[in-house]
Amino acid sequence: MLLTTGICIPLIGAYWIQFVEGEFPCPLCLLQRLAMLGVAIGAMMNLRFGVRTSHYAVTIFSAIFGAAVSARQILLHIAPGNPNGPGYGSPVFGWHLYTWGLLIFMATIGVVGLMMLYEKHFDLSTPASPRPMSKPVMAVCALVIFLTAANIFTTFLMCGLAPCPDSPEQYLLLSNV
Amino acid sequence: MMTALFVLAFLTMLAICFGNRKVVFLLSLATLTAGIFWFNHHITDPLKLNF
Repeated sequence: MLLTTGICIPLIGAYWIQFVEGEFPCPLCLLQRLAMLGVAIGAMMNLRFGVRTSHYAVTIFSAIFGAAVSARQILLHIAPGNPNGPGYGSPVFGWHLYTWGLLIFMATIGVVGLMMLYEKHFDLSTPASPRPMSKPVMAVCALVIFLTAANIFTTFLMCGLAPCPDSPEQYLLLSNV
Repeated sequence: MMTALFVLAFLTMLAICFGNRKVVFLLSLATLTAGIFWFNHHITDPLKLNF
């Protein structure tokens, strides 16, 4: 529940940057959002089907993928004297979003590792079957699903059916209206 | 296109809501694979790195 709720914070923050600050996400940024949703998927599987190591594996694999994309974006912009300007997007508390992304993904792997140390919450005597969720859990899952749907909508507005531009500056579908 | 990746993630979450664990695993694997493929095809491959 904590992992699912926690991963919503950077996803909501990304939308704050997109709509309030007016900075569009690049393709690598979108891949990192996707990886965060992958982390949430593993956590939601624990909430829906019971805690299992295989669900944590989904989270870990998504976090590894997200970390790789974040690291790639850091390496693109880390050298000083970049003719395109220092980094992509405005820094938040001194670091760019992709740097925060790497930190979040590495922290996710660490947190999942710590949670897997606690063997008592793996109840393997009961099969992994769908179980009813409490209202707070349903609310958090609904938030994640809403954020996913929002990403579908805004990505489609930004890119349409074509590959997303490297440095998007507008919503392509709205500019053609 | 990138929207399709998010659609896959959305379908995975719908499968979680419907309680079909096998479909969830398949779709989450498909989402991750598609993401890796997209990353490789559009980001890493154009660089023509020599490892």
